[in-house]
Amino acid sequence: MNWKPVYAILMFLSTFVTWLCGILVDNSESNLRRKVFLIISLVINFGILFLYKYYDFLNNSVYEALEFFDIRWPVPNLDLLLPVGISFYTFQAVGYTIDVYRKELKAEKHLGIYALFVSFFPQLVAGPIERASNLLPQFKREHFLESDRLVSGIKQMIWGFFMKVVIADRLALFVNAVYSNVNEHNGSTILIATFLFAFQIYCDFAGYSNIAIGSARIMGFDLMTNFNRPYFSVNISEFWHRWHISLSTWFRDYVYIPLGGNRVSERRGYFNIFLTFVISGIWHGANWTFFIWGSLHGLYNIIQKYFRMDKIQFSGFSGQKALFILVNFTLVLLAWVFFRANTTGDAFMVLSKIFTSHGIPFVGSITTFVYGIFGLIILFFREISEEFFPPKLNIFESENPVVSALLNAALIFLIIAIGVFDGGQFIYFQF
Amino acid sequence: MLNRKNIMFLLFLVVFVILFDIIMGMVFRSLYFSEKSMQNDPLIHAVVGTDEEILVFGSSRAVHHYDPGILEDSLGKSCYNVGSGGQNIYYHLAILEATLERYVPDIAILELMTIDFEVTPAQWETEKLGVLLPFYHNSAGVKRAILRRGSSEKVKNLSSVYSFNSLLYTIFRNNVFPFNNHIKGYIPIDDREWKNEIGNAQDDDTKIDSSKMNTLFEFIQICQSKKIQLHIFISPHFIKTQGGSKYKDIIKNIKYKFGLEVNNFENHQTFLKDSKLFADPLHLNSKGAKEYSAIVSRILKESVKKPE
Repeated sequence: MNWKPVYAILMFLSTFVTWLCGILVDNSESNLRRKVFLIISLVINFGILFLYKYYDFLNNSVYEALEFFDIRWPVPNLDLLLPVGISFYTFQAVGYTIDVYRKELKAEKHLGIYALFVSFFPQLVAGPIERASNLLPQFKREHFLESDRLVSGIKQMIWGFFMKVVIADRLALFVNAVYSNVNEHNGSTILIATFLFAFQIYCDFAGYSNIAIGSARIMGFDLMTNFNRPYFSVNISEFWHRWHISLSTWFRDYVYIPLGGNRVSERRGYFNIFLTFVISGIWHGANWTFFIWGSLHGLYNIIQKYFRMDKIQFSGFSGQKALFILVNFTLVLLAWVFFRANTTGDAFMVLSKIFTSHGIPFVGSITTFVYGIFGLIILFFREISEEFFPPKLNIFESENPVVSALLNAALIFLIIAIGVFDGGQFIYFQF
Repeated sequence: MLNRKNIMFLLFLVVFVILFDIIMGMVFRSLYFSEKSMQNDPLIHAVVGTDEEILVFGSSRAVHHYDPGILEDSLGKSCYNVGSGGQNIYYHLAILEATLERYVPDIAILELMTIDFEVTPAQWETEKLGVLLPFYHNSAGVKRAILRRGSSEKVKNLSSVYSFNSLLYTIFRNNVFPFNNHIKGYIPIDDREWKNEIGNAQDDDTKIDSSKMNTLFEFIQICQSKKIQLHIFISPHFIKTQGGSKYKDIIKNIKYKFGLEVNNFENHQTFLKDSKLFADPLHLNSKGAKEYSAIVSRILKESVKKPE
């Protein structure tokens, strides 16, 4: 993740092109003209994204492939730094153009309002990737300070900071120490690090989303929910209805459905699922690790669909449901190995060590575990309460202002007392 | 419009946050600076408890190499090792300044390491100064060091709990299960002997960090202005320096600017020939530390006899 003032030009270019093409598409009578303006918008936006995010990866891949056949590939890398938030605002802006093309939305005439939609600060750098139909009308309404929004926004921000600073950044200390040196650690250590990474990335990203949604709500804007306790999913399909919802629905609406969705032959349907997940993987980063991560999720989905496992319904909590949650979490965990590993070689080494090399795990700093696990216990308590108990029994949903204030003050105290203030940036800033 | 329930929430939230901060801050402060903590935590003693005549500054190589007992016996002066593993010159200066706010020691020993003057990631260096947070309100020197972490520290330190960020476990351990592995700040490495062949140093590609170098010079200047007898040492390591010492330029600079000789033990044959004096290539074990401390005390004794 990088930011230079000159990168504002890229964002402005993306904004201006999608705004202008939106108007031109909207004003065109002929379908051909509409399509041409849509394609211009897509080519420019994805072209910028390709140049900054994927060019070097593709160039290196071609270089390595040709080197295998002793063929020289003299094209140099561009070595461009990835501008912060580029994947997020590009997708948001492109989604708008497609909506206008599909006549689901009228083009926004006011450049300022449209620019605000693309660059709305709470969600600019790491989402949620908003839909124009949801956000644009909100910029045209007058906003007043509303106490319910203010209070719920503050609560959501406090919880977001807790997830990020107390849990994610604390667990990162251990996870990074292990994953930056996987060949030095045994399988037990790596397994623990992988398990903790699942919660690190969840708390990092969901924490950011909570802060973004909460701060927008305080100002009177409603952003879409981005996470909904994903690790309680009983299958992969449900996982993607609960994890990074704004991205998965984007891919559903702008990739999967245009490919034909499930209204095609069974085989073609599976292909559509696989391709959508592969693209989703590559969206996260220009690396084969993300390609494999996306492919794995695609495969999981196809297998579960083939065996109709996505149709299994559970009413209430049961042992069988717990087993499905556990199996699903294990599959997600396995895929996280590829997401976190620095290279595919590292990822395969991690998997081989997890299954073959056991021993006494490396603990490192005891405080990392003490504070990290304490934070996780609070997370589990909250998420189990929200998932399985009615709101009345959930202390985090207490209607009593004193209880609620006490609870949130305690969270602020924990953030200050055991939060990591030297922690790194948000993981998703790099995408 | 604010309704009654929301006004109550906001009001109580502010009240509870302030109360938590004041009460828990007081509890943490009293436990962190309790008598038990002071006895068991060399960091606390180093910043607020020292009254010794000789102080040893430096990072892990200071902590493991300078035995205050040997220096005390030889020189007849009290000594404390205020070194701290992984720290650098910003930390050493903060400790010196905190000390001078209370008293002036007679002798200061500074174990110089490359991290005291070479370029390293800036964030990496300032993060480590976080261990000094509990003393932010005690010492102007410490405050100056903490502010190197960023101007937001001024705001963060308005909270009294923040001073003890991530120290709950340490506070608990110091008071409930005291763990004392040091002798006046010195931590001997008793159970390890290096058995491998001597390694070669990497080529001298040291890039001088001007901010660190100025801080090092400030450390020397303060000692000289307060008439503290400063001795700078580079203790032995089990590494062959082939392409020239990484310290050569800084040694020249110190000599040129302050007329101070640096005692360089990089190529001391007694140590280079005997791996059993080391726990690893950079650290002496307790046997090596005893031998080295005896040599240091002889040098100090000579200089005490013949003051400049």
